Amino acid sequence: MNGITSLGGALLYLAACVFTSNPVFTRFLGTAPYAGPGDVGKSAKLGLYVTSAMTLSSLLAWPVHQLLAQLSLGYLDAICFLLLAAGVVALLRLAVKSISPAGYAAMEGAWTLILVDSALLGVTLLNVWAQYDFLKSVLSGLFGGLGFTLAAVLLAGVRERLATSKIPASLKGLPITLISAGLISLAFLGFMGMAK
Amino acid sequence: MNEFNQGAPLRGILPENPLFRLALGVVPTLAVATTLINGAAIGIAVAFTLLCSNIVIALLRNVLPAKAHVLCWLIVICAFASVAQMLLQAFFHDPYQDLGIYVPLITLNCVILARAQMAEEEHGVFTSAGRSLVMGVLFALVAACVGALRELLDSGTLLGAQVFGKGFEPMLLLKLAPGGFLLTGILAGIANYFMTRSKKNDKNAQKGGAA
Repeated sequence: MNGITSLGGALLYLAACVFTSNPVFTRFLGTAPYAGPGDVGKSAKLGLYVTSAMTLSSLLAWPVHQLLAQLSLGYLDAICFLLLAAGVVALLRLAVKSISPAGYAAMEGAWTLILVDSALLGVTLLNVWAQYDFLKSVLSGLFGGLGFTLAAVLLAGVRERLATSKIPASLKGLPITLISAGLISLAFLGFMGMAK
Repeated sequence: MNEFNQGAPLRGILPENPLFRLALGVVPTLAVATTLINGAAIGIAVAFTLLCSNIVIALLRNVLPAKAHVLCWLIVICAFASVAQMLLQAFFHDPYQDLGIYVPLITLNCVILARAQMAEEEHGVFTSAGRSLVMGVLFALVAACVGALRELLDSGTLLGAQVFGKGFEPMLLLKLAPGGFLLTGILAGIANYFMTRSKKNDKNAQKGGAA
């Protein structure tokens, strides 16, 4: 199914993006949830930024892809999407800076993290790879962002607990985070087949 | 080039292992290294991108504007990742289908970005090229090993040939996403364990030498 025709279909697609094919836990997109800001509140905020960036770049990437396909320059997709993502992130950064300077100051480092996060570029590439139509591409950005937010918040919660628990020295840091992600991903397997 | 004579390439296998040390480089490898072939393909694609982009970045290091150099690196890296994808599509169509979007996503591999940073700081194209070649080959080896391990445990085969007997129960889990996370986490833990142990040994040896 490359397009969405009804509201029910859209809701089903929301469930698919958040649970059955979560970008972080099933597609391995996104590095910010493992390396990002520590606590749950900040991760939710990061998720909000990523969701807006993903929606915007999916929205803009679709016409860019159509244009490149018309000119048979399909091999430039990745570079153009990368530049697009950089532009979108820069714009959002300016917007947040002018709307709430205090909030901007608290999360200044997150912007580079969002740009080099594979989830942002990954979703736009995936839309093209799976040949989604315009509406589905935009929704894939929006819902994928929500799935990303859920993953970031869950992992931040796990990391908060890990900080105070006793872990074997050699598992500290990345290994235990990956193992926790694996266990959450295992739980997400329970949703398999419920929505596509 | 001196470091090459002092065993720097060998040192890369554990203490500077690009896959496990630069934590974030794991993401594309995790995703697609489900078989030996796919692991080797993504590993070689990473090595190719790393080597070519490093040479270009080292050549351009005096030209790139200081304010936008990260973006310039990303464009150079992305160009070579696209080349890698086209080469795969032309000559190895099956891995190309399996790897999909994860080949252009090599662009955001932190191992390559970190190497780009180093190429800017180092002097000389040849030094950068040599070091990135070593790093890329190591990355490819690790990716192939992870792929081989997953293929072996998931279906009991290697390169499609049956390895275990008929009594083998396939662990489907390892082919799916959780298996990728768990296996890489455990391998990273094992690498950490041996690294801290060899560091302790070094310290003890130094103490012994001083006494």
